[in-house]
Amino acid sequence: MGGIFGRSIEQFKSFMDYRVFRQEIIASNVANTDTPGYKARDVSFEKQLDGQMKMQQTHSDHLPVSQTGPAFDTFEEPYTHIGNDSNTVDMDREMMKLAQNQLLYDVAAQSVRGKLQRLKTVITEMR
Amino acid sequence: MRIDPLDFGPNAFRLSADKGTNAPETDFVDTLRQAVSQTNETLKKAEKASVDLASGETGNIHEVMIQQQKADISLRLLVTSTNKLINAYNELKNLR
Amino acid sequence: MDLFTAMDISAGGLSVQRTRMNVISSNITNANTTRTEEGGPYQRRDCVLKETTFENVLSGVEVEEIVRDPTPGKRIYDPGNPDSDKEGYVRMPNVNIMEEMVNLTGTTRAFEANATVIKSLKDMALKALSIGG
Repeated sequence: MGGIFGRSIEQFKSFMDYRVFRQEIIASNVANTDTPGYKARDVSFEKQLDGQMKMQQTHSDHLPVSQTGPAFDTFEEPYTHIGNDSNTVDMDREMMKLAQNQLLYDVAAQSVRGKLQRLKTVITEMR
Repeated sequence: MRIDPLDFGPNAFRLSADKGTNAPETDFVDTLRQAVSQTNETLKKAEKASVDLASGETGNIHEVMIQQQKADISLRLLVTSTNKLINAYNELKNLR
Repeated sequence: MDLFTAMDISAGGLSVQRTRMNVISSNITNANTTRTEEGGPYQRRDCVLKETTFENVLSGVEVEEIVRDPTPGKRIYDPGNPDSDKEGYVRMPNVNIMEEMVNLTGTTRAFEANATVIKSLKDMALKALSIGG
């Protein structure tokens, strides 16, 4: 017997964790847009073959991974421009990622909210 | 966090024909007690999470919100199920 | 997974860009200051930025120091200037107004970008709260 909540809520929660972490990385990149030598970073969310969403820690590209949360694959973002100061932050790209990432967070939040509301309705109607 | 639904087991509604008049009552009460205790734990954990969020101990807003909602749903499920069980039990009792 | 940490990072970015704006402002204001307390013309200032560590892979930023640009400014012929030397030349500040304006534009944009990040984080937090019903 599975729980009434099923797996999807856990999945959505994982998505949201990832989006928050990615937003933290984007914030780091934007804050360091003028720091000499700073290399822009990003983080990916690996999909395992069995279709289960999972955060993957593969090679971490010399970047240590937080011990407290699930492992993410952070990597140096491939860059198209590099400034005289060796900074690789592409502000336009970061702004685009910011908006997109936020939207996907909202999507997950909305899905979770909807599912929980529906569960509540079903149980309340059972009276 | 996984919440398992109430598992009433095969004996919850069994009439006492072969076991004596006390058997179904014991199963019934035990099952309820377990469900109440489980739900209580869930509620306490959700409460603690809320406090942690408000005090800044944790910043994981969505996690806390989800936990709260799950606790709320578990509680509603418990109350609804309990009512239905008690009604069903009373009906059965009146049949005798 | 913490939106508040991200806000701290962006706040650091805002602070750094604001400091840079102040420094640029000082440079522009003193573009013609031929006499300073230390003697000699005003030398333009620059901010040295440094990446800071925030929980492992996250980075903030801070101003490590504000340095003087030692490059000598132009010498112009102006015998009427009280600060001119024996030959009538004055050593000017090494401030190039055009360059400072370009820097100011960049700084302003970077400041606004950090502000945009903070707004996005705030909206995400509110969205998460709405899950609570």
